[in-house]
Amino acid sequence: MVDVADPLQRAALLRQPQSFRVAGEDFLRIAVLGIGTQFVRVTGRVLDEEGNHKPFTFDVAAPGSRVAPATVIASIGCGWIENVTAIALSAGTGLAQTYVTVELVRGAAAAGGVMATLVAGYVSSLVRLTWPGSSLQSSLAGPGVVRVITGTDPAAGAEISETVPAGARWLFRALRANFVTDATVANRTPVLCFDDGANIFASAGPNFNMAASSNFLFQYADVGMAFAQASNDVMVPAPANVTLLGGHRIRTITGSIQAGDNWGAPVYSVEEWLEGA
Amino acid sequence: MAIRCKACGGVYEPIQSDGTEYYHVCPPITLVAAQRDGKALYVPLPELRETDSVRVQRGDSRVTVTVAALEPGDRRLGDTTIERSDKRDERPVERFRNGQMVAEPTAVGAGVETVITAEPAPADIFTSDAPIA
Repeated sequence: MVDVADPLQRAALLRQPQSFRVAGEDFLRIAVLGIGTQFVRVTGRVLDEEGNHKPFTFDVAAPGSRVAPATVIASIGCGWIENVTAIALSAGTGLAQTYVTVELVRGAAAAGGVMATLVAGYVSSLVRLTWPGSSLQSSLAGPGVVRVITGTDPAAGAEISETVPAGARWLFRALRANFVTDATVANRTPVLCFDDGANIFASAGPNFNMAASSNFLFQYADVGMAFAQASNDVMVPAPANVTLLGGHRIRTITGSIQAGDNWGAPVYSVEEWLEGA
Repeated sequence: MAIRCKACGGVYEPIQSDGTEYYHVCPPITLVAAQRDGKALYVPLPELRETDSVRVQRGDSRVTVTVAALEPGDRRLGDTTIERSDKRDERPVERFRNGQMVAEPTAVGAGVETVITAEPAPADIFTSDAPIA
């Protein structure tokens, strides 16, 4: 028998079947991981003990980090959580750049015990997470964000070397770079290599040698076959599906490179996920 | 505006076109296997001399020649790489500073300097034979 004169029992009648009861010592912990400069907005409603549907809104700045999340512990009072929604506020941010976790924790300390995970996954200005509704997603699930990066223009005699940032997972797509040889006679062989910071595990080179005083535009991509060199714009088949973790490198090793040889700044495309710490 | 690394001389844009930060890490130095004054050495590429001897692939054979005597078609053998002692690595790491966790570059190396790059040409200037109204 429900006593409808008792506000608490009346509120219990109104609550949704999936809602969580929260008391004063329960909090929402919102953790945001991402490299954008955007905010994440977490909204929702709590059915309080008087039977009122009370909305809440918390904005959390993305930390600009792939390894150290920005964390907010938020009080939502007493009652039942009815729903939670998370969305990125900035327009134009791609998916797989901002990962959000909203948990129900006991205690306001950062290390408070997790009672429930409500949402976990990537958000953008178009894609939101909701509880109830969204499934919990790994940061490595689904498509990554496609990035085009302009790397370092090496000094003369130096090789291209691009290092994957900590906390990122890259899937290599393509790299394009100009290479000019000086007048020193010798055959150059510009090979694109992938290593873990020390050990090379994949490489790809052109099927011809590059002579002194020449200028070539090399494009390394998963094209599956080596083309005959018909011009100075060269397509080199690179290994497909090369996955790179933090600290791994994309770099050139140019056989017979000379002190006056000069690589231009590489422009490369990768698909990126947040790997976390 | 671009940045030049004083360790390796590389030039880069610290902010990418998509607004994300770019973390420069110096490339390794190429070491050339050479003979100098009868001694076998690994010589950093910029310090290789015309009188140093190197091993090369010449046609189907391998020969030792001085740098000055290299021929078109030669391929130098035995190169390796080594990390720079003053290597810069801008990838952030979390460190405790004054009781707070802060993100700092892994290694600052020899530092950086700002480079002023040329302004892009204006896109809306063109010539026309048509009279200006």
